[in-house]
Amino acid sequence: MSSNHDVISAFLDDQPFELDELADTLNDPAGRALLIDLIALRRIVQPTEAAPAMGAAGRPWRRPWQYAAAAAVLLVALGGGYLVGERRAVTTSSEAPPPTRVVEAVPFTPTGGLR
Amino acid sequence: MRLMLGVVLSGLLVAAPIASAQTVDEVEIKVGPYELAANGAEKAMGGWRSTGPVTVGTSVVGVFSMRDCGSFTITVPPNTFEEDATAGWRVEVTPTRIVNHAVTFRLRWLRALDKGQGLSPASEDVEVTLRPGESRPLDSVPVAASTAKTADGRPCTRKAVSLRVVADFPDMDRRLIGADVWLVERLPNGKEQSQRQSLRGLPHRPIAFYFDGVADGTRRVDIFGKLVADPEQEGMEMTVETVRAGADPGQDGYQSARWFRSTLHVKPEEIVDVALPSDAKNDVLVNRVFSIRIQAKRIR
Repeated sequence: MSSNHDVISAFLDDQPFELDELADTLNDPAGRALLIDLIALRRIVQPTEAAPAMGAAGRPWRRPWQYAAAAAVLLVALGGGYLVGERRAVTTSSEAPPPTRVVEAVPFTPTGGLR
Repeated sequence: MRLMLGVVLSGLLVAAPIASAQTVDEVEIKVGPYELAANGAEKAMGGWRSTGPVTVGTSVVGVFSMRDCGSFTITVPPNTFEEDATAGWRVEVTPTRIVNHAVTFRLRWLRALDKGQGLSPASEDVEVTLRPGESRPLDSVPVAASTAKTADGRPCTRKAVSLRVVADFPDMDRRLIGADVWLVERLPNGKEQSQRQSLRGLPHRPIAFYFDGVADGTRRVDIFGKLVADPEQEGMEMTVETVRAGADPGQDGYQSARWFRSTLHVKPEEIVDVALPSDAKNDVLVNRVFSIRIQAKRIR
């Protein structure tokens, strides 16, 4: 996952990256979803207008609703990740599934090893 | 009508040997040399003449040559013994019957070459039945003391060598069996408490499982065992041996143990619960009710 994240981040940041690695990542549905998430996140958190001049530094460059939207996206990502992780944890838990058939073992006294 | 009956009978007579000759089992029979080391231990030297998967009615012949320090070469007819061999054997194996992986075969062997050891000629022509993992010795000869060295240059310490016939499943089996095994305890309130192990292993080979011990105060029960999976047309036959053992307090051993065995025919996706019956006289933690739950599949 971190490798996927790195190559997509490099692509979005105009940093050097391996084209084959990006292609492999985008072949994976999870990689494509990550790309869309990152694009959406950057559209939200990056300014839509040119950076203000130094003289205007006292004025906030993001509007409050943008902070709220970024926080909401972050919460959705965290919540989604938690739910996915929890679901995976359930499938690998030690809880035994209900049996489709029940038999009774036969006691015996060993006289040699099992083959 | 008489002609038709004759044709049918002739067809059956012709087909019968063909059918039996085509009976193939995964078990293989192999003959190989063993060495008796100076410390008295016998171990396989590593070379084999194998039938491969056993085919009823198909003979396999091996020609074994022994040289200095008991080193062996193995070949097949029409090749004969090595020129510098000091002893040589011809061994022929002909499988005649297979029942539940137990192979019956005709074994004919002859020590046809013997230079200078003054050994009496030896041979056998017998019917042998071996189950997988079983073996039978053929012949044994002493290794004459000499300055010869082993193939890897070490001093010769072999005291004797022997030939042995072995029946077993092949070591290099690419098939892989996977099984989830749960130890399930049924609680007084009707609910279940379980612990799981994920197992992998080869067909026909024991796959061991060991669950965490179950304790009540100082009393402790360990439940462990092994399963053997034999692939079938659909699913597999699975033999499960389970041991319920009461730990000996303060010791590494057990003060009591009970053994259970089950043979199951397990279909894919089937989940089988194997109940372990309690025994008030012999069980530690007798009020605790356990079962082994199994889901197995062929991974590849």
